[in-house]
Amino acid sequence: MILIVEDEKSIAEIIAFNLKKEGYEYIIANDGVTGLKLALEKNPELVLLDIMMPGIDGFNVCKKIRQSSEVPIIMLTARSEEVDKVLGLEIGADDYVTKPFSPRELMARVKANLRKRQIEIIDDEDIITSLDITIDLKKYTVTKGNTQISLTSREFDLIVFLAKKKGQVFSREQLLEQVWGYEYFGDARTVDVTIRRLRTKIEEAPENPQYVLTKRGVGYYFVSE
Amino acid sequence: MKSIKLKLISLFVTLVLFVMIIAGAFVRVSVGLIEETRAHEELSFLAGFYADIIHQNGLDDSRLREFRPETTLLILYSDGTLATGAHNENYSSMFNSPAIIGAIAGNNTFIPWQETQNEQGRIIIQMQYATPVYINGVHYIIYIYSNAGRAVENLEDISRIILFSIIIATSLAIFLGYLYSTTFTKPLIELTNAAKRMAEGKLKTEAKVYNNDDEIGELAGAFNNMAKSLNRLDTMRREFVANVSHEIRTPLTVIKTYAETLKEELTESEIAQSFLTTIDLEVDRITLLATDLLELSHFDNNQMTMTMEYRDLGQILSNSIKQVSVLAEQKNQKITSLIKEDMVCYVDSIRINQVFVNILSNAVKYSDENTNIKVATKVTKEKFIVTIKDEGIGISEEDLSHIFERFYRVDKARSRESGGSGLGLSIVKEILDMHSASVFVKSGKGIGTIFEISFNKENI
Repeated sequence: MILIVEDEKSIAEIIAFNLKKEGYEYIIANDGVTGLKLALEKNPELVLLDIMMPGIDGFNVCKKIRQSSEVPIIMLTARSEEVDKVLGLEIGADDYVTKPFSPRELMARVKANLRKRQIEIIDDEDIITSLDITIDLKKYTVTKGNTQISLTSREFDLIVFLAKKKGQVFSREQLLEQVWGYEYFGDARTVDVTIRRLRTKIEEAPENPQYVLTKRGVGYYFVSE
Repeated sequence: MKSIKLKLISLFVTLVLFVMIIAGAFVRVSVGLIEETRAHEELSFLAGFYADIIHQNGLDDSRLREFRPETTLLILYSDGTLATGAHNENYSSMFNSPAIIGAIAGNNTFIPWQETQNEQGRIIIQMQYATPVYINGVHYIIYIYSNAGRAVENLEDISRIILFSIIIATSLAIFLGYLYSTTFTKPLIELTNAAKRMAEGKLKTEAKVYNNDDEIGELAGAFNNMAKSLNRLDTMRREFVANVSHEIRTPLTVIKTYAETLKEELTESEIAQSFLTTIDLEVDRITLLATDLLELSHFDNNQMTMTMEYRDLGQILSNSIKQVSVLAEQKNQKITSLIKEDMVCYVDSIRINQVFVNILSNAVKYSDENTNIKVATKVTKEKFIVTIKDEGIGISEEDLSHIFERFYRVDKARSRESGGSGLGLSIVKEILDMHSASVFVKSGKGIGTIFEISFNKENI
């Protein structure tokens, strides 16, 4: 089930129409308060979240959802400004779509964000370890020492992809294609933000990372032991 | 020196000089007249005194021949011949003195400042007085003259003092005029600078008000009010552009999503497909226009935030080519590229990608089918150079200088068809300016266009 949080009724309606056509179930919330309530009660598989709403706005709804859930969140933003996109990703959204969007594009994003753990299917390894980090591909868990780290599916996919080819440097564009799974034209910064979020979760000192490293001018790689 | 300062100082000096000269002349003439009156009174008093002596003692009184260094006395008969006198000079030359001629005619005659030559041939100045008297039945003429040397010296002293005062006053006038005019020009210069800053687009400028009461202070106040109004207007304009381009997105989203969904539903109707495609394309165009306008307003207000990082220009360029290749394939155009590695530069990668995509998509749009677009890079000692060359319609020399202007359309019909906002190249220029990068365009009508973008390696 997909939760649509959108105050503009006609937009919510057309999204619902397209979701239904693609075979998804949906619920609609027309304001942030209802949206937050439904997100916590109904346990949706994915949330489509508008930013500009009366009451609580999308940013705050996203923040509150993230306190208790790693459900994929796609922000619907009328603002094309970089700052807003980055802010959305920083506070835990997985993706964003800029208005006006094409329904087909939105459906592609929905599919891509629902497509979970595709990477390990084509792989025979079950457990990847590096230093004190253990990634269990079967259980979808990441543990550091003895503590389990809670990652969103995107963050999980990203660390798995990098950790499988330790030491190999990937450009942002490659990561977008491989991990996000679709052409994400021009917005390589999504990768940067997700990397940053990942680092705050797994690194001792995110500004001086030990696991996910930056190759200046090129991209990112996972530390080879 | 600025001319208004010079003018003020000259005016000040001229006024002071004028007043000083008039005053000096007045003093000089007054003192001359006082000297004259004094001499007249003194000499006429002496003449009365000698007349009394003659009256009492006749011409034999020794006092009539007593020598005095300052004054000389001659007693003449009415025909002008000498009766007696105290003199040390050859008096014969004195008989044609205008004073004596006047006295012979029967009048008391005073002649001040009379120039005469003494025996040594020197010019001396005298005050002369002659009066006819009738004593004991005889007509005499008492003729007294005194040397005016002292009076002349006094006058010369006064002239010198006046001249000296004029010089002092003029210097003071220049000095004070300079100080005084500065109080005029300083706020004016300040205002001019404020106006210049404003013309550069710094609307938050405020001119310093030195003195609220005077006209210049009022001008500065009015200027600041104007600046405030402009600021308000500019804020309104900025908010307006931002609000419009933001608010317009919701209805555009509705139109776009509904048109596209309808298009997928009405697959049987060719007309519906064609019309809905047009609606969809036009929505994209308004969206692009709104986005570009918002972006330019950010540049105008220095609100554009750049996320600078070290990125390989070649990597960005390859990515841009990939984005445009879909468009090129539709027109069966071939994009060939020769991209060097390791062109690491300190840039905002998203913005630079935008630059490349803008130029590349123009190349695609303004070239016919089955043409080639060539992308190449060059590394020189100081620069990374990216060239994008097409075999398109080209730009005439006349249009070439305008292509970075906002809403400038080389070919109106064609650009409408191609769906640009008319702001693409303006944004390219703004972005490159913020990177201190330059763009150079060469084009031939019907031959094609070359864009050459140069990045400074110093940015590293």
